[in-house]
Amino acid sequence: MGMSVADEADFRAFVAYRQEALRRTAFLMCGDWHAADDLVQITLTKLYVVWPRLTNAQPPDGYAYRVLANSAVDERRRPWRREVKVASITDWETVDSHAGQADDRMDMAAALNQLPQRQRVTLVLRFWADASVAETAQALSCSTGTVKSQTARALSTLRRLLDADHVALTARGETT
Amino acid sequence: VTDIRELMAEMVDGTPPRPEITDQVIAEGRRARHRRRLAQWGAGIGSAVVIAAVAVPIVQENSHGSSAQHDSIGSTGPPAPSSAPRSTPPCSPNPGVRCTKYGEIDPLNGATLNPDQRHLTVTFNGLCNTDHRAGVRQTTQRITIAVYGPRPFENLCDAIDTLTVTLTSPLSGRPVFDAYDESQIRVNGTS
Repeated sequence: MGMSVADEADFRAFVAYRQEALRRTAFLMCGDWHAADDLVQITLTKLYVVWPRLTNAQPPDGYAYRVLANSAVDERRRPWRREVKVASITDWETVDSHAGQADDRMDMAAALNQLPQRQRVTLVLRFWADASVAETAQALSCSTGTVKSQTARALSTLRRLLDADHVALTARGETT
Repeated sequence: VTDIRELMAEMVDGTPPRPEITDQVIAEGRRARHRRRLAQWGAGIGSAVVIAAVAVPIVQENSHGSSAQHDSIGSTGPPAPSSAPRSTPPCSPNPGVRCTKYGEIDPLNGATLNPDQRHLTVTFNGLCNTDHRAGVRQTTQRITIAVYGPRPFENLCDAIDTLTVTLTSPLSGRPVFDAYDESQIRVNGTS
């Protein structure tokens, strides 16, 4: 079944409009811009394959984030992705968490690197992509209870690593 | 208080330039769609539909420049019951390998009509190093084109190829369809 010219034009418009947002989200999920670009390309390719079948009931944005999240989890499992980021660990151990924005950024990047990939993806979906618990559960094909427990564990780890007594959560107005 | 979203925003601040990947994604997406369809065909899905769709006398040509052949694919009689074993169409260079339709005609490039109005060249997504063949069904209302090749279990190398089919009468504005999914093919050179 071929994709019509109109469908392809729609797809191109979607890519032009959403590629940057997907790319930033992918970066937060994997921590590397090159890997993020790979993830976005994988995601958009999969999206292209099913594009004619997407309907209003399943908007492309939601599907794209779902594919992106699962790709981020799957990619980390691949053998060539199981690399030990020695430099990152060293950075993390020597970083001063109260030395300004650049260090904060490094803190957060290093802290996210310490999280299991699924917890990291859950956090990004919940607090960056503004997905609800139900939407996150659907994207990761798990239960809402799993999303909540993964979120709680991830936040607990972040609090410890960031040395923050209270990590405020900004997801659709929620604060826990 | 540490706002997790603000920290994430700081992480993506200063994003490096975005690579232009749209064309690459579309090309890879087309190949992925093609591979998926090959897998479906390998599982034997849909072959009966296509064989039935082109069970008419046809004119066909080899995609690699050999001389035109006049042949027929399938039976010209009434369609056999679906449970009956299907005959082996004589379009495969390897005896015993059944031809199936798997080439998708490229909807963007479509078909190009020769000025003589009797030759249509279609661009399709096929396999490399494979002899593809085309079947054409002609009525006064429409033209239907199918692209064939041997069932590709091992050859998963993609290639974009062209085929030219010969019409028994000038196209004269008749719409052209892909037999695979009955989608209409854009015809260039009709004006």
